[in-house]
Amino acid sequence: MRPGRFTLPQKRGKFVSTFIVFFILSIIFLILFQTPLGSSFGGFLDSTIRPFQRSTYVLYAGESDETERERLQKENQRLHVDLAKQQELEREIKALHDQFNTPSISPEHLIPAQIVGIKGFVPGFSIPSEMILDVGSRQGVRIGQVVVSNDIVVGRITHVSAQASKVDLTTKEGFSLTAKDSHTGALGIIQGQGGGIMLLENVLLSDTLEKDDLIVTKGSMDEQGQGIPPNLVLGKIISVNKKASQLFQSAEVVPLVDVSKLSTVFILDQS
Amino acid sequence: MVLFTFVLLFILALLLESTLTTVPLVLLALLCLAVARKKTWIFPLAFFSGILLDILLVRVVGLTSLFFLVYLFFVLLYDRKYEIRTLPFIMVSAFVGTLLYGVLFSLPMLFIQAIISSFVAGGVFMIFTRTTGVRDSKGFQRV
Repeated sequence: MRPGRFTLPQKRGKFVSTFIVFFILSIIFLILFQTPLGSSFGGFLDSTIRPFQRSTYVLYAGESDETERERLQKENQRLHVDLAKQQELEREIKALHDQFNTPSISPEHLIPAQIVGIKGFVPGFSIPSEMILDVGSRQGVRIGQVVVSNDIVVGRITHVSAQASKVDLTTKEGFSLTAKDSHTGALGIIQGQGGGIMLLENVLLSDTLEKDDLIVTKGSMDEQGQGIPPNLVLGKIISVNKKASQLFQSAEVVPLVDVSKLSTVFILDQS
Repeated sequence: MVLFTFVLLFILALLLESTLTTVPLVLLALLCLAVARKKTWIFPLAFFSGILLDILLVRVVGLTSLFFLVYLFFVLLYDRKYEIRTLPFIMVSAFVGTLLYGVLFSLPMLFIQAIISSFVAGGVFMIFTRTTGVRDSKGFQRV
């Protein structure tokens, strides 16, 4: 038998007391960080450790020079947005509306944000469902605000801290928004399904949905002008599910933006 | 040197989980450390890593720490009844832990992640025990 130092397992009492101390400390932190003082301390910690997260993400995503393919993809996105605006304009002229609804967003209503984290099951392969931005309540970010890239909806703010915020992407399970077909005006609800797909549901059978139609936000603004503006592009229909025996029809919608290629997005501030 | 390497790997797990992946790497690292070492410092480590994760992932601060602490406590409770420093125990604990973590924090593809996590934890545990000379012989460890 080889000589060596052997230790008996730690005494149970020490384990339990250490656990209880840190358990109580966790509860104290849980309560403390809901207070303004705790928030400030959290903001200080955030500003200290956030650069490491940002550096890790930049290391992974890389400083990419725009390739020809990416330039064409951006151009394609811009054309889709312009097409949605054009279709909306045509509908309004056709229906003799006297109010011209401008879907473009003025720059002073946009808060620029750098992406510091995009989490997927397998980075680079799985389609992400959330992302972390480096702006928070101190920069005017609030829960419920829409996040866009080139006038295309990317997601919505769900959690905010002093210096950072979390975004649920449009394809995440549980994401929902009222939407309409930009070509036919058919109304429905966009629901994230996970796996990079959205479903436009609760569309009346009498309405028309066509493949390759653009789906845009219907808009839900209150009297103060806050909320989600209309006619922001959500995605494009890839298939329609319509059965005469059902009450409603639905359509599969894919987003026009590959969020894993983004480094900067904009938060829509309607205040 | 080994300890320094594992500290670096722990920090890497923290950064990867906060930036790129939904796999609970920090939970798996804590599980392997707790079972391999059975020391009380696992609790402060779990507490501080939970706080950091909550800040980086914009969650309610303190929630992840609470989960880590309770989870590790229950894992170490099994030390009384079973020999926990075994590969099957690590893999089952990682599977259950990931399921619970995923339900609490709404992880996608939960079942698959739990399976992957159990294999990752098993691999990490095997590497850790072989590089640090920890033996699982009936409750005694050679340090």
